[in-house]
Amino acid sequence: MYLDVAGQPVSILALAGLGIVVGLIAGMFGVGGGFVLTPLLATVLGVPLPIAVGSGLCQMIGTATVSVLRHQRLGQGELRFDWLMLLPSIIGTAAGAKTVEALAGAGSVQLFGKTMPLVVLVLYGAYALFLFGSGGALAKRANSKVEELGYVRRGPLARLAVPPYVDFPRVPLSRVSAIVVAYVGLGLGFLSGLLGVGGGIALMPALLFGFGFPLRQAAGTGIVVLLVTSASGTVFHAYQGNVHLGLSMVLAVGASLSAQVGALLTAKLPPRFLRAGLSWLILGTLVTIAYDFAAQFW
Amino acid sequence: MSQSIPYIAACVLVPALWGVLMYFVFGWWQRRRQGKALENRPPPIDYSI
Repeated sequence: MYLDVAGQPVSILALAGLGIVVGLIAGMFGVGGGFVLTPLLATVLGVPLPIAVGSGLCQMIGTATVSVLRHQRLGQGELRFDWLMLLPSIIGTAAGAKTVEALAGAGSVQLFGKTMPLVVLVLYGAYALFLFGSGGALAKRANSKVEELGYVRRGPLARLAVPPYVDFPRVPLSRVSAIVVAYVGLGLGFLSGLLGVGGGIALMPALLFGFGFPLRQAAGTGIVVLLVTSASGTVFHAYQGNVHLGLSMVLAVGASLSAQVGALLTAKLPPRFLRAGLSWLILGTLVTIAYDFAAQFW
Repeated sequence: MSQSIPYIAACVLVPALWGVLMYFVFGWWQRRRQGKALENRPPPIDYSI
């Protein structure tokens, strides 16, 4: 059984398998899994990169909807932070999607005597940088013993003095620059539109280390923005013809079922295994990207 | 190649509805598991000697 993706047959079983892997990752590590999904769609299943980005965002709407409903029920997170990031994140998503479109239409470049599409070259480089940066920070978080301090230690981003200021009573954190929060939303949206990642893997280190949010409040913050960026990113990419709904739904079904298994496994597996697993996962994705990149020159 | 507006709307609504469905299905499953765990718990220890 195959799906026709831009004239290319993609095995439905392989897609469901990839969805199951991504769901397990999401359930075990509390991240969306987009940082693994989009590169693997392109490198392992041969889905064209712009379609991998758009369809990855589309399937993320389902998981983001579940997260929003769950966090709303638990009352975690600082919704004011989400509202401040909302509009800039949509603008950023549009800019990211436009960049993908421009890169896809920019043709190819000559590299070491071989012709390579510019979109592949730039996006693979961006994925590698993103995984090194955000993935490394997330692995650091997993490796450090994050404790609830009982008070909030202001991070470097929370200390930037750019008026107007806003208070976050739920964290609690006062006098934080609204401009800085808006720029974080803009950056998050751009990453989402460009790479097809939900942005949770980038937002989490920013909240924990940048602003100094406690772990519990950080986990519930930004969820609404993740839903809005994945939805707006899907709209922008779908408008450009880069979303395959069938592909997204096969992934979403596999991922939503295995995410529950992943969450159960987290409670049973030793923390050391989980920490090592996340590091190996990031390394494995980087190796896959590097291999696919190198294979173009053989 | 741009896609039609109904297709774009479906790309947003279908996964969102799937997410809502999953939220209720797994919420029900979790409540059922918790209920069974409570039913199967051992009887309380009687300290009244």
